[in-house]
Amino acid sequence: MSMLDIILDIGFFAAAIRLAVPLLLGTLSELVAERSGVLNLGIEGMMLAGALAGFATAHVTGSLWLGVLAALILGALIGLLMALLVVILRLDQTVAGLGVTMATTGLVFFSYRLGFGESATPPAITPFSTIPLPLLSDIPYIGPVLFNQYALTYITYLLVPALAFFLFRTPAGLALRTVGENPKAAAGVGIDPIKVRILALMAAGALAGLAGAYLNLAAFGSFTFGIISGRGWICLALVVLGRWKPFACAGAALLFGAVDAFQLRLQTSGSVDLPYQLFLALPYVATLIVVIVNTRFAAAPAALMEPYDPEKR
Amino acid sequence: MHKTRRDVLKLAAFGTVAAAVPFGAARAASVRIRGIFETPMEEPFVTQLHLAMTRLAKEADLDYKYSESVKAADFSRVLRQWCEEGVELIVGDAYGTEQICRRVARNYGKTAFTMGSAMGPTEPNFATFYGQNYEAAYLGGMLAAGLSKSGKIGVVAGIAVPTTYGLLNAYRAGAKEMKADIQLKAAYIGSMFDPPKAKEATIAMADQGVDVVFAERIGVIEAAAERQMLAIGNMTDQSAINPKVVVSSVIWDPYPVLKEAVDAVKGGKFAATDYSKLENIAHRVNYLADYAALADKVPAEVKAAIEAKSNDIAAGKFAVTYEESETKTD
Repeated sequence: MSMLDIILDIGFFAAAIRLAVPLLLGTLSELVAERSGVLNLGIEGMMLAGALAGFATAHVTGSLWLGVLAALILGALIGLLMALLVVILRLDQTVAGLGVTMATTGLVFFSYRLGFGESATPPAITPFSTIPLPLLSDIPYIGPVLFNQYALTYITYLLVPALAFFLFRTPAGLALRTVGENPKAAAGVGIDPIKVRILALMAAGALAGLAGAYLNLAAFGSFTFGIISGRGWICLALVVLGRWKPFACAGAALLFGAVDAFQLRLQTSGSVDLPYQLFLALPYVATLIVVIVNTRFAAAPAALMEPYDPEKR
Repeated sequence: MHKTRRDVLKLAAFGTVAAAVPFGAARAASVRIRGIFETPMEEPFVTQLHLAMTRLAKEADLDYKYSESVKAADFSRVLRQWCEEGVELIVGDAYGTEQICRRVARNYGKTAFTMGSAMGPTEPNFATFYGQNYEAAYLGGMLAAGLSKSGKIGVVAGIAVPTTYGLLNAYRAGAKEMKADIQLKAAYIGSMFDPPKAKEATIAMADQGVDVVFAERIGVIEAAAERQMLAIGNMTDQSAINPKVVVSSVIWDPYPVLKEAVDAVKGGKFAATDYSKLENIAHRVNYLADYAALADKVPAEVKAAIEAKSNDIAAGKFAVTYEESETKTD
């Protein structure tokens, strides 16, 4: 199988989308947080918490959608915790974010052990199956790729334009962006930057929770260690690659997913004889190159990582 | 409060019982065995160690406790705590903490160590095993080739370390013996635990015509079920994950190793032994798990060939070559 055959295969594009969706959800989460001026390094922990909440709820209740709901709620709660640390207490965002990730990681594995014990065969649920959308999935070539996916994937398709509309076409979106650029100016026109940042972090937490839940409610049917495997950290790079814009972020996630799907196929095709580590590095190298080329004129939100203190002049 | 004679009697009875308990415990004191693992229990290698020690503890009345997910920085502290308590035997994996474990062992001569290690034993109290199941993998390769209709078999592995290559090369050799023109496709996910990625790697193989896949890592079996492939498990018997997909598993069961170590401790003649000499088919540390629900799918001549080969290996009539060069896609 040559490289061209790989790229022309329908299976490749479908895999690219499956690999991109959790990254895209995480990137949108980070986008919301950073647009409000908070670097959310708690994202990895939030995704993990969402994965466990989703899995545990689905396992106990038998309802996958209740699992999704639980992931959204727990994610939002951890977002609230993050907000308490960096917005109310104005702690250093890097340290607080890493702390949130470490604390939730420990708590999640501890709760999993308490709740599910240890067993040679990890407990499993029946994950979402793909739903072919009527008519759309009959379109030759792109139909089976785009419209024979999980329900959560369709929701993600809709989230991208919805978030773009929210950010650039609504007063609330303007308020969010203003707080991220200049919280003092925002306060001057009657916006409460503290409230905006708390809400933004809760929304970011919910989205990160959803990203985690996708991994074991759709992509994989059980909760295992390493289910997130650093995908949260990748989102931090993808949001830069996506220049803090929803559609560009979707493109960034798709690029990463596509190169990842490509390298997995390249490894098994045997057409290129290289050490496997080079294949695995491909998506990261591609991201790095595009970041260098693409983000020269992109500017991060001006107040990113700056705590807002209303009493300071 | 006024005390009746009955209260006093009760108190006395309680006191007697309380005083007797420690003596009772002391009399029942058994060999203490501790497990220390760098990864969570779900890592198949650790699962197998844990299962073997649980079984041993039940049979030989041992006092077994373990500590999982111990990071390298905490290894020394956990080990020293147990050694200070006078624990008789410590079992675990030292692959990521070779120096740390040996340093602690040197300081506590009364505690016996039996650890998974790539560096071999260290006198006087540090015995090692290697965690190898390449002999069984040879049989697994024969099975995969015997089952494959497309002529393409696959393996999804985690991080490629020399032991992984040793395992996969034996698997390939077994497959080639069964069908000389069989094609092996290998993919590495670059992580010990990333089931969604292992699943995607397996789907990529299905897209390229692979119909039997060796699940070196967790996540493969789920994809095999989705794409109507057959799977062969690794280390633990993984048929419980999905009996309709998993034909057999390439087992590594450290029970015989640990039994020998415990017996040596009990007999007071523990030595820094290289237990990897036991890690083979002859000592039942390696074997191919029962075909279970999918027994009918395996052709009779394949079963017979595997059985004969297994006997030959056990009797020393056939030696599986162990080779640690990189296993690549054919």
